[in-house]
Amino acid sequence: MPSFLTVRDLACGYQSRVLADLNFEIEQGDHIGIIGPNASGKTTLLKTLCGLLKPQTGQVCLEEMSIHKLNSAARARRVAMVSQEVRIDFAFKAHEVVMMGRHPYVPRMGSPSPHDREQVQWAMEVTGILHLADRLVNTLSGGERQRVLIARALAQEPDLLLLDEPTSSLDINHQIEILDLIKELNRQKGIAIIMAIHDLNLAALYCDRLMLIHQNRVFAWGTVEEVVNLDNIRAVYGQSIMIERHPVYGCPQVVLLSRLSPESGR
Amino acid sequence: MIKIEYCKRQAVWLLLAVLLIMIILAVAIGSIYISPLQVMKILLFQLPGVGGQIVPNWPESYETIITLFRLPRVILALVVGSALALAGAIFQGLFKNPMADPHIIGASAGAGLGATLAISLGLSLDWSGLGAVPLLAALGAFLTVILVYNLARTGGTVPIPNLLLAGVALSSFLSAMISLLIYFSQDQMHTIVFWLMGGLSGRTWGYVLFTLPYLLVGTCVAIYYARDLNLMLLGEDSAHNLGVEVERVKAILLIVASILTGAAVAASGMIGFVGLIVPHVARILVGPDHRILVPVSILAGAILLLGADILARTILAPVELPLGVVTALFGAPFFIFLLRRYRGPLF
Repeated sequence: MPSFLTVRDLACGYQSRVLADLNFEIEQGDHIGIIGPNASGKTTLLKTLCGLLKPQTGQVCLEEMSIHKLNSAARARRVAMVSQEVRIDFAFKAHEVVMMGRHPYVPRMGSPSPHDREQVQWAMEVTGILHLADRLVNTLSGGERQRVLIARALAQEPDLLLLDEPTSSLDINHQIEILDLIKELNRQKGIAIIMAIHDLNLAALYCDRLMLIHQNRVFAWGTVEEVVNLDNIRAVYGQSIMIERHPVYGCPQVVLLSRLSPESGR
Repeated sequence: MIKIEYCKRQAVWLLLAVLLIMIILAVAIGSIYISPLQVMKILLFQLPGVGGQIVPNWPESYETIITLFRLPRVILALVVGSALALAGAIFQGLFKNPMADPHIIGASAGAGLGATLAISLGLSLDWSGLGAVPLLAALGAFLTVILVYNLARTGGTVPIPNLLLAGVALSSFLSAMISLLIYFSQDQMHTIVFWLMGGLSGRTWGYVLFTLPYLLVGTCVAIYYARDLNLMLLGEDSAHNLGVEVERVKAILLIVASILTGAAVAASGMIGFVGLIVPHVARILVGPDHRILVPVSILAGAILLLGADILARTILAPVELPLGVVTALFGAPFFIFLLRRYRGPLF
């Protein structure tokens, strides 16, 4: 039985190489977090996994089929991606944007079937945006727009959902809302999630497994406990860090220390 | 939600009705006035099947005036207006840029250079009723777009900013060449400048037959890819993730829009402003969805250019004003009026 997603000898990037020697496997229903400093290649990896960037070497296989060889509609029916900071300047209504997620299903020149409409309805229901259906997306707040874009990805009925910094431009209350929503989709629908997230504490709180990227390589890959420990985090992010336990969930959490001496700094 | 869809469909019917009335008026108005009722009768008389029902009670010269002179000009105005508006809508959608118009990536400058060359060298060609000027103009537009597209290409993709910059740079280069040619061909200076200002006087059915196929094909392609264009408005990467073959769609639509521009410029010279403002007006009317925006732009472009041509023929009759001058002279204030009235984000 092949793994759900297999990455073999992958090297990816633009003109220059950003990441190399990637080898990992992901099972159906996994919730993976990709962490690492800015510009470490988190987005590049996601763009390669969703088929947007061609790998320089190696391959990404979804149940034995190379993602980069699938035709675009077939790929879009299995893999959905929510990019970071999609600006929408155009006056589409929220429900029209969610319906765009049905593009790989609705035949050209055809109109959406009842099933397409049901899927859109469902996607808007689980993301809690039914009340926004007739609002113009360019008038929505950041959190609302993020929900619309997640609903659009869900309307694709993906087995694999990729998210690039789904919370980076949101207030903390909206961050929790969005991550709870993603977790629910992962648990209840069995959708495999891979998300790039720079906030280590949120990553440790929500993900089953983490991949820490540093200096063009996978620096650490495993359970939250295996990745978020003092050695790894200090090696990648520097010394001014402590690891504590989350008072409620017990998972590791990063606490920051000022580099000034306690007397002069505070 | 259903109500609004209904309103949008109504807009198409309304525009169609306006267009029909404009066509009859445009055929009626001229140095010899023919009443609209008679125009309708004469037009219907030409139709096979219906024509037998109508007893001709008009001077035969009217029929000649209408079928040989006024009708081809009116139809050409529709076709050129639609082609420019459609090209503008496609470019604005592809480039996600409200300033984009059919002239933006150099197709018109290429057409202009082709026409200028044909006039200043006194070339004579004949191909199904078309002279050297429209033929070289079409060729110039086509070659320019191929060049711009290849200049903008990096690796497997054609990034939009590259395309815009290559287009603008090549356009200025070609415009300079046009100026140089005008400077050195004193004898034909008047002819060239007159052609560049744009107009439809003396255009025959040959021009209609030359441009109409491009408009028909262009319309079909634009409607076929309307949904992809909608998705690409929200970003090329996200369109890719939704299953759009972005680079292929971009190449096809670019070529279609450029050929539309080239054909329009070849038939009528440089007519500015239609391709810029019509898609904006259409967006104010029916929103950004290209499935409705494309047909509405096509109809509105036809109406606008036909109206401008009526004005160009009548304001200072019997002297005709250059059509390109009229579109900008009346189009610009109209557009500014719309901008002031409409308070939402336009694009």
